[in-house]
Amino acid sequence: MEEEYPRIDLREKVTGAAQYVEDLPDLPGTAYAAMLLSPYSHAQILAIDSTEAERSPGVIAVLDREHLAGLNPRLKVARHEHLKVRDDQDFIAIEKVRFDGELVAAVAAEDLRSACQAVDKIRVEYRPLTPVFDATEALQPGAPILHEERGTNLLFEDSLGWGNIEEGFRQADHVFEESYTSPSMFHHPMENIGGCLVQVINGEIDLWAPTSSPMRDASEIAHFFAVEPDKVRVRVPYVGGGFGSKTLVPSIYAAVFLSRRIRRPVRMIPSAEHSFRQNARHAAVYHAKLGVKKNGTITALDADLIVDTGAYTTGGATAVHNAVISAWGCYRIPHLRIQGRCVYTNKVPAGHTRATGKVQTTWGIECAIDSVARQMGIDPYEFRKKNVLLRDEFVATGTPRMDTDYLDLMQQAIAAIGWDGRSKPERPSDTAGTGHRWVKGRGMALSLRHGSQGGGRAYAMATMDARGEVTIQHTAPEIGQGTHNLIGIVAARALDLPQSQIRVRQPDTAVNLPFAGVSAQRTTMQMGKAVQNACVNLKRELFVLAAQVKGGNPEEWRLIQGRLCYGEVAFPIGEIIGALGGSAVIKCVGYHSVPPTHREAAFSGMDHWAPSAAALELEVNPETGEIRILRYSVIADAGKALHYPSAKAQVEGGAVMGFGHALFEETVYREGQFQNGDPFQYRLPVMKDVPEAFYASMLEKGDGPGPFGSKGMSQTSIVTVAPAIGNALYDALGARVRSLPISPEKILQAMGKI
Amino acid sequence: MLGSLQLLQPTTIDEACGALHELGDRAKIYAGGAELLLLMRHRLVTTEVLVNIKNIAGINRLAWDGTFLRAGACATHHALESSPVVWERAPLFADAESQVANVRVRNQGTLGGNLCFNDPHSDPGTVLLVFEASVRLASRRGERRLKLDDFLLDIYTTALEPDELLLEVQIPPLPARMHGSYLRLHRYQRPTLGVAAALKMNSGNIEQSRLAIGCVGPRPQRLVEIESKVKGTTLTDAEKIIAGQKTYLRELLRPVDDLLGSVDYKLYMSCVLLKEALHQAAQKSDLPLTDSPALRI
Repeated sequence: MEEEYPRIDLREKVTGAAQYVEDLPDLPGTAYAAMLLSPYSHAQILAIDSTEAERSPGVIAVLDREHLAGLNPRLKVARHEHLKVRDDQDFIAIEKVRFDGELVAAVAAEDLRSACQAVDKIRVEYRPLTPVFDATEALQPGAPILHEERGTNLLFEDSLGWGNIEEGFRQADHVFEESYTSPSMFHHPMENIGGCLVQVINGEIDLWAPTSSPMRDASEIAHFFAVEPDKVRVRVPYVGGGFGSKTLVPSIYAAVFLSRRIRRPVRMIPSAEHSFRQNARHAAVYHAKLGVKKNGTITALDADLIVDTGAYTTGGATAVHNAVISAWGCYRIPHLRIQGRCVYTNKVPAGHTRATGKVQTTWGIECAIDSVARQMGIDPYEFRKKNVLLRDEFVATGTPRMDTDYLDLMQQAIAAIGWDGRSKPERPSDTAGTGHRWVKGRGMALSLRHGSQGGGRAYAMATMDARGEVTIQHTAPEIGQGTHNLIGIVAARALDLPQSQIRVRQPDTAVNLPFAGVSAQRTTMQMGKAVQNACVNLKRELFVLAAQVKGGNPEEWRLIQGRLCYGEVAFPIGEIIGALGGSAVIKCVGYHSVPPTHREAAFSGMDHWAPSAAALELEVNPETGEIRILRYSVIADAGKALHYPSAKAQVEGGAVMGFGHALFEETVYREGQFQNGDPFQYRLPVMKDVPEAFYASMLEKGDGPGPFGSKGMSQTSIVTVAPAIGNALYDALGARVRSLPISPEKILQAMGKI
Repeated sequence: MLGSLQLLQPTTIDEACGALHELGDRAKIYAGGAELLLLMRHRLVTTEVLVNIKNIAGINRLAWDGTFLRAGACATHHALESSPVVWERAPLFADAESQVANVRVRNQGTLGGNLCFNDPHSDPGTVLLVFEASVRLASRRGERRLKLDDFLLDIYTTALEPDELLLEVQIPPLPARMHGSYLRLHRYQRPTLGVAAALKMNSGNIEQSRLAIGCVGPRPQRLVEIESKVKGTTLTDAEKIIAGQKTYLRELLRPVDDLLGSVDYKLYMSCVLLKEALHQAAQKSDLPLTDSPALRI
């Protein structure tokens, strides 16, 4: 049934009619803003002289630490359920700059060129300080301290454990230690980060911005500028990709500040280089000690994680928490201890990135499992089958039981690449001197994500008019993933109406319908349920009205294909609603409440598990270290896909992004600077990097808790790519790369050739 | 965002030379802009005036004059990779041009622009060293001819004077029975390494070779010491000799650790690609004469 609906945003996007924030027309009197970013990764600001910039043609106002008009520049860090966070970032640099790209000043001018020219005339005197880019080094005594008042670069610690770790290792016949690292990387959405259009009228801040969470943003802006929450209105046009990056960043605060100050609308247009300096993914070190019995049963896992959040907390709390609760993978581990430390370094602050914290830990645990199995002489597939959690098994305090079938997922993934899952029995003999012979290898990886944890209540509102047309209002942005289409489908199915009769509005916080935002793969589950409930309520109201107008009991009425039916008699909806008179409509709100979260249980507040399995075949040239991915398959448990093409595209898109993380992507900091913060030098995966035999699919048993048997699944496919490649590489060469991205150079190093 | 600048569009060499003579350092020559505009956008290069030389009649011409293949400064990489006369007279060069960047850059970028820019991460210079090409330069003061090896000085630096214009590149064909191969390594937009090798084989031995490596150091280099060492050896011996040349390569090429790789990686891959290029060049030497390179178009 769902295939009959094309995606509702398709036509606008394909024809170019879709409006993104930069496409919105200027408001009367719009001024343009430009930014001055720090060229240093760590420096003290001795002086800022903006006199010349202020006199520059077309300039209306300059913002820097000297021009704050009494505003407290300190940003509020998003609250975290489990960890104590402390505000540590100013929206504009005050005493110091702590990363290459920190906002130092902004200019509003009559046009963008005048604003850019004025920015060039701001004189900033810096005293460079030694930067630290490596989190492990940042923890060493004597390392440069980013936030002096804290006295350490250690931000906070999180942990998870069950059983008795000492006992676990006592039961083990073998103990293995494994380390894997992931670099910081950039989300690289097609639409740059940090742009907006803002006006302040009658004390109300009107903001149009690409963001994943308009309700949260509105409340943060209200808090920051000390105005009542209902005096901030955030509207979100189409968003050109986010992957966690589209949040309130300092440039947006700067635009709001300038607009308030000059009493004119302000448009902020970031460049690609600016965009690279607004957000990042956390770098991480995964170190694990695994205890295993002779028969291949895991007895203990002791993992130590270092999560590098960059210069400020931003998403550090979520990242370290998610890393800690995912570091054990999807295995039956009776004795567990995981400790995570979140650390400051002089990098672009890391917010959230598609499967925050888990790309890094899945790379760690899935390579470690493969490595341990091989060291024990056990086939990795057998090792996984023996240790993986089965349906209904107990996972940990406060969680639902395992609600997926890993054996099915694995079987489907390997079958899709024509593999029986067995790895090469012994390491290939030395490949030196074999010329340019390409060697094949195969590997697999599993992942487990907690589904839609936290976020509070999600609300949606459904309005039906006398024509029988339904409008859904909500605050879930369409960020490329198909949110609005999903909302339309849920509403259409809940009301048994054709989707052409459903209109899904763009998010507008003026409707005051709270939702945590399109992140953490919560939208299908939480917004989907809210929309479904709104429609169920709407239907009930309609039946009550029908009973009043035409007779009978509300329970006897049915809504079938857009007509109200009572027994054998059918009435047009309009006839019933029209009875209310005038321009009457029926309006209902629906909500979804997530289970409460509490400190004692790390997994509390989640309502399902979100697993996936991947299998991969590659060939590698042992002389040059070049890799070709030949076949890749990934199967995600979707419960039930509500719109198959969109869900499949999420699985595929995640995997392609995963290829980037696995093989190319890395933000490089060297000699005090961010070296590749531009699209020319930052290597993304391109079409030729995606294998021709690329199979992305879903397990659909209709057993999810979301609308119509669905569940969250959009972050499951990204995490398995890197470990599947790492394991296949080992299968091919008998050499293991332990740091991402897996470059030809690292392969040659692992083989001892350089 | 670029500031405002003046654009001059001369249609004759005299006019262009006149403008360059008057403006000197205040002007930059625009011959496609594939690299220039990128650096201007990053404000690494600033200029008041751009002199667009693409409208000069004949400056993009490709012709064989009986001695040289003459490639006009504004011939695009795409024109070079798809020109029958280039494939006929210098197939190795045409092949290397077909590997430059991507089709968008090849349509926009020009040979003259590429050589005058002397970005170390570039292909044409390396292969043209193997051809022992020359460049013809013009200014108000007259014309001069320089060997390409003397023209390419250092990173982003050439012998071109501020008032001078590169008119054309003169490419002599490879000597009779000499065949070549150009191989490159690229993981990012710009190549990590480019290797050109041309060989004349005689009864299984290397009679003469020309070898060059680019992208690894400040400028492309001919490997004269290796060329003399492999003279008279078999291919197998030549490969062994190359494996022992890392120190020579390190001193000659002066590689640095950067985004594209470490020094060790670049030197290792230089040897791998050099061996492979020799191998391919030797294979071409074995091919019967009927295998015209033109068939590859």
